[in-house]
Amino acid sequence: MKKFSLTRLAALALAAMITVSMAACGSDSKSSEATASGSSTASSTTPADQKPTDLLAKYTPEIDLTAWRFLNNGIEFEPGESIENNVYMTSYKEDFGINLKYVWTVPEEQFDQKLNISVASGDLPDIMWLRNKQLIELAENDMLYDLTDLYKNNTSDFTKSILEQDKASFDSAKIGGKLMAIPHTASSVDNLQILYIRADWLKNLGLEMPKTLQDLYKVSEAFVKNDPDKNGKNDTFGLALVKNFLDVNNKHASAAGLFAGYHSYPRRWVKDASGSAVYGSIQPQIKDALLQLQTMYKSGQIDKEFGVKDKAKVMETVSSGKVGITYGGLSSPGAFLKDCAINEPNADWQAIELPSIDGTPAAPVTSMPVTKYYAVNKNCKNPEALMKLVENGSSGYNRDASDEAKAKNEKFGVTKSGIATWQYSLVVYEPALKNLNAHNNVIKAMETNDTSILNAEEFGYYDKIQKSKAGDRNFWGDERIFGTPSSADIIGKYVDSQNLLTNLFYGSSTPTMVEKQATLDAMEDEVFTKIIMGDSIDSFDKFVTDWKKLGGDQITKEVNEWYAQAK
Amino acid sequence: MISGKKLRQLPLHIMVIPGVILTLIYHYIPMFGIVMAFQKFVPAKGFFKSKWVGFDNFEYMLNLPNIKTVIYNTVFISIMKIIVGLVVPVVFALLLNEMRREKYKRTLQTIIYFPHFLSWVILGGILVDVLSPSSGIINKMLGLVGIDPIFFLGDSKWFPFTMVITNVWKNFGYDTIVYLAALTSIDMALYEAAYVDGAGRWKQTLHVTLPGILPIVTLMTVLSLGNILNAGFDQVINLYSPQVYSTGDILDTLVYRIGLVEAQYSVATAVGLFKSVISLVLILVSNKLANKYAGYRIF
Repeated sequence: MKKFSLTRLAALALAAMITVSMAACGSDSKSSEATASGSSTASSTTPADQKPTDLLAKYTPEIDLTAWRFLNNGIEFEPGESIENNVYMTSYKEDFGINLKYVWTVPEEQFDQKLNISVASGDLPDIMWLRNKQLIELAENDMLYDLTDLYKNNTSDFTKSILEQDKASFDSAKIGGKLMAIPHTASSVDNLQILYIRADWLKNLGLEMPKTLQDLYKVSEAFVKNDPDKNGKNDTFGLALVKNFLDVNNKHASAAGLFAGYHSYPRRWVKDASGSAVYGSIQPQIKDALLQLQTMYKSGQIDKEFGVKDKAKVMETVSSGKVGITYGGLSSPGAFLKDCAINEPNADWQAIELPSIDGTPAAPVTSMPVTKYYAVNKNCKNPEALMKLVENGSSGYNRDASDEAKAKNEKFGVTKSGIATWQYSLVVYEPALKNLNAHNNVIKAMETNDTSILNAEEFGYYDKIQKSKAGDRNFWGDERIFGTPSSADIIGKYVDSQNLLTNLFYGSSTPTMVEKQATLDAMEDEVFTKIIMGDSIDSFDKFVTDWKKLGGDQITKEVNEWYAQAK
Repeated sequence: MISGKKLRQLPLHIMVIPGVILTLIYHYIPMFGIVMAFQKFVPAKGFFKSKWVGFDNFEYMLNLPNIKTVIYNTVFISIMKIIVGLVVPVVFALLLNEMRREKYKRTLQTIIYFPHFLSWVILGGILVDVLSPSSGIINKMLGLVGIDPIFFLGDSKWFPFTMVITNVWKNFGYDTIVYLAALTSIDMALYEAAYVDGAGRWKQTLHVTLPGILPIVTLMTVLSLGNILNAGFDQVINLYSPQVYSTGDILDTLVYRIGLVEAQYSVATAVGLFKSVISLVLILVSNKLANKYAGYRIF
């Protein structure tokens, strides 16, 4: 009897608290509505229309939150700082009253395995970084907090507008119509393939920028035979290639751009003539591209050892000025080519649109941009805490370049010394065309000398481009991404002409994929690598038959079933 | 009543308790997880609610298209490793033992022991450079004696042998020390007796030293037989690439790809259990054989 009354008391207290807080929200929202848009919408006052300051209110007393995450590649800290101790952790505590504790953090490459193991152990923290696969798994087993209402009521319209810019991406976090996580939305066009060529080498040899793939092959041959770096030694390659050249998650020195030149898309799902989804790796066009790579390998245009070289090793080759051509993405000048530019003052990597083998322009391909989700444990005591961090995450995207905002960007974005502190944030998401818009705004600001149109982040790029123009090669990468000529120029061309494809399939692995995909991928890697290294092209036909037989046909069926629903 | 003998042994029994507890916690209790091999394990449902599927996972494993190659690679690489990894340290220990200058001996011991402490992640990066056919030092040296460059890590004919040799190079220092320790425990009187009987250095080695370390050699071999399906995961995962899958893909790397990357916990457990059962059988059999032919048994 006593126990019963205690429970009732607790329930009553809870109810009372909720009522009070609701009332508080209600009254605040009225005043904010009034200031924001006059009195016309006063009738629609709901807690959803709170002012941002309330959405970010500090917890008193402080609350404890646990989380797990990975550390981005290349994350850097000021001396004495760490992922446990940095400006974001201090801000969470002092501005939000949140004591965040990471149960674990791992480098990005190890995240999937660690995540699988941790999900298997069933011991989940309050806030989790998840992949699509685990999101669905946990949601279907009712382990996650349904964020539908919290999202509706506890985020501002501005935040919603950014998260929902790309509806398809945002909806990938909905399971059975319920929002089970906040997606890390990002710009998918950033991953479109771009071709990079060393223009200084072209000049040394008196060659033109290639227009077609045929031109490119001639350039590549010349880069090997005619000593483009004029050092008197026969020590250069044409095309840079990594051992995981089919991996869709790796942009740099991948082969996807070359395959796209043949209108073929390995490891992606594309539409065939009849409108159904087909697997790119088994299409006949692949054969021509493989044969070409084989020729290039045979004649020394591709490193004979590419098959054992990962991205870091290929980067060494690029940095030491031994390669003249590579495929990449928007970020390549900063993430892959920068060291070469610093080592060699004359190195001039120019970005161009993908050349094609025939008259039809080559269309680059991208995947659904959401690579991670922020989800809340069903048993979390303060699920709304995530919404505060989500709301906070949109503040940097305001068109606000006041000194205050700039100072904030330096603290929470990128510091003067070039350390990207934004990577410490537990919750990050981006507007769908963020980087392209940044580029356009920066260009406009440079033309008009008017920096007032820039937001704080864009001003950071503007500043660095000025430094690069003044001769500081450390900022060469920023200029070649956001300035002009730059990789963003090329991405802009793709977007303007709408000459791009999206991987048709972005659902979680189908049942047969779970069982067979690893085996099929391994087979594909092996067959393709060996063909490039000299195996007969006939093994491709055998691969196609095997692929279909060993589960590929079933996967295709499942993908098309999914596609029919998703369309 | 406790007898005097038992009382005297009591401290020893108490001292063994922490070891027993650790073994229980870290080796016996986790064994419960073996049930995953017979379930379609879903983490959220746990052991008790996941569906039982009998031997489906084992069937799935044995029906993988390349399972035969993979098992062959595993056994081939690990048998080679066991044989070469037995001969090299024994020979080295005998040679070191013949060295008269203590300083030399110790320095050499340290040098050959050193690679044992490097992880395969680090060695992976180093070996790609060292074994490179175009710029690697090994191929440069082979070039001096007129041998064409060999692509040790990229040629599927060479890959298994590269695994064996790099592994032995990394680990033989450790085994050498074990055998050296065994050598020092041989009674000097035996050597003197042999000398008196007219045995030279070679005969002494053959009839005194080798029989003297035979029990340790047997022990090490029997223990290593249990590893016959462990061809060295950390080594292979750091050095292999698609072009050598045909000879270099081993059970563990296969399990890694389907188990961890694709999150098929049950299949991974099934393969693990399969390996353990085979290892157990091999250890039991080799122990029997060792007892029969060398008169030595571990348990």
